[in-house]
Amino acid sequence: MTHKIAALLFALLALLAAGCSGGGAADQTQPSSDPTVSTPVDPPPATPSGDFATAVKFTKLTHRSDGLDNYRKAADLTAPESPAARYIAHQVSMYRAEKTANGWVDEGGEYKFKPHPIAQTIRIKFLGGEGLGKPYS
Amino acid sequence: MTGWTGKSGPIDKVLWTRQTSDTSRGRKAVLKSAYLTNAGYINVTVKLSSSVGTGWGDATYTAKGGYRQTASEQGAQDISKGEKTLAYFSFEDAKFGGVMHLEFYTADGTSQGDWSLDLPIK
Repeated sequence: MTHKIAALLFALLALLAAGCSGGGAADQTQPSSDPTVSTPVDPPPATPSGDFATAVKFTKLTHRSDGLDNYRKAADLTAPESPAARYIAHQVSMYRAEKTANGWVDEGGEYKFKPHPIAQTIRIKFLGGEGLGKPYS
Repeated sequence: MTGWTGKSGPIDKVLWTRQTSDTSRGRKAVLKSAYLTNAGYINVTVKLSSSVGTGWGDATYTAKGGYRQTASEQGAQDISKGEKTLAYFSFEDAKFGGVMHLEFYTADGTSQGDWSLDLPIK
């Protein structure tokens, strides 16, 4: 199911996560390379913000082949009735329909994720694995 | 999370907006969800139920401009009297705004096309 795999490929995921401000980390100033500057006025965060970390987690959950469990975990990260929640509802519906029709669900394949906390984007690369479907148990 | 912008734009622009349905002689189809993938497929899930044993053929999708195509992939083929199922349909290189057409036939495979259901996909 090439199209299904491709469907999962968000070439670029620009976040509109709840609570994300328009600026946030993207507005942070890059640290100076000058070694004499010990305390940059506005350093970038060492770790992703909570919202961005949630988005990264959500992205990985929706691309990992682990039955409905990951969709359930991803759904827990979404705001009720939001587009994100409706997207998960559709994926769950597709999963159930495929399982009903075929008795198994295509596993989809492997992905590599490249989160960019400053730009608040996640680049997703498909590593192959088409046809990794396995009987549903 | 509320949403994101992907390759095809904001996620809310590539999800269905209306739950449509159609009935005919005991057969009923209800659009459950639809999503326009980054690869250009519309993936549709439909809840089908029937008060009589029935099967259905290849679904077609007629776009707003009149172009008609057959599903590139679909699941589930028939149900018995009183049953319901969740079926999926995929239409390649499609856009929202068209109508999915499903022709039904009797459980023994005869009378194909005597009943049909149309589901607008928006």
